[in-house]
Amino acid sequence: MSLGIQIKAMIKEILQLNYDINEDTALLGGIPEFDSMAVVTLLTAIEEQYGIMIDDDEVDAEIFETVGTLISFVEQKV
Amino acid sequence: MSSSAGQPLFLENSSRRFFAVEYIANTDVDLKGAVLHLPAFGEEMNKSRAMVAAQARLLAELGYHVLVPDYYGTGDSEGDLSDASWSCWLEDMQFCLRHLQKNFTGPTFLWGLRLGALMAIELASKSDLDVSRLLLWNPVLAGEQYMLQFLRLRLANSMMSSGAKEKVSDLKQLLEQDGVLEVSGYELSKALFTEISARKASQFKLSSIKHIYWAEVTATSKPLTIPAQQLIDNWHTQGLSVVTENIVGSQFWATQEISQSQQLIEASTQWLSQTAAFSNTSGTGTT
Repeated sequence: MSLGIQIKAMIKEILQLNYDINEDTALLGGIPEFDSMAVVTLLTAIEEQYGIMIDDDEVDAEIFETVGTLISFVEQKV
Repeated sequence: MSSSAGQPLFLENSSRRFFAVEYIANTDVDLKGAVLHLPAFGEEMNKSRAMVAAQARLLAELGYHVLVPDYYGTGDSEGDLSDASWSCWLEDMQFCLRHLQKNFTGPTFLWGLRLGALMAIELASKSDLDVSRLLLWNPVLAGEQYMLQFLRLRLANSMMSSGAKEKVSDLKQLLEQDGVLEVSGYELSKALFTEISARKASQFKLSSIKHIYWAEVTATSKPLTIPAQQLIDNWHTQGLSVVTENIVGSQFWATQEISQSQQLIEASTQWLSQTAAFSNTSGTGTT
């Protein structure tokens, strides 16, 4: 399973979405369920899944603009 | 009486009044054990209430006496979170244990979820408590990491409100300076932050524990993390019986909508009945 597919599955699971999302789906401001708790849960899930540490100082709103921006962020971390 | 609806009550220890729900064991069946729940922290506690109540009700029906407290300064308990400390919670939980054991002789289980599981491990390391079984649900193993994740809630909030972006170091400094930090509506005190951060599951020696059930609920099937595996290996070396199970399901303490994992309830209940029966004096035999 490619990283993109895994991340999309993670987002759907955490936000409990019952519809499909793609790279262009807006996260922040686009999905009402995407709140601060969801951001934290998602970051933690990504850290656990890929065994990486995400420095909070490098996390900003741009990363969570769309599904695609989040995937690119994780891609350069793993 | 077979009603297993929880009965709300207030307990008081060292002038701290805290809320608890007691699930009285069904008297139509044999009494099997006493169970003290150690709740998760913050939003994780709120989100897991339904799941914890469902498990507690089922256990009461099956003959367990279950107590589900809210830590002082959290949930429906009195006090402010900013006045709470880990050490007072530990004392209150010992008080709960004595409350359970006062009316009851039989195996006592500590059942902890997330941060509550870390507290269960610490409580279990105290040799004066007659506890020999631990039920752990997705235990938090390192308090420091957990506290950093908690601070992230505030960072995420500041990121989303597009105000000045805060850093973890800023938050730590604020905590140092003001003695308290507001995180998503929770008044986290420096004392509580420091105490939780200092805790690691691996630092506690579980001399009186014989049986541990460790469930990890994950969205997709997953092996245990390296620190978890190391801890379990260590416990095995000490002669403890540790059953681990990976349950694929929704992480009910974190999901957006309230959710439950029926499979976790079933697996936990099965383990409890096996170890409870196993411990009964001469043992009426179980498989």
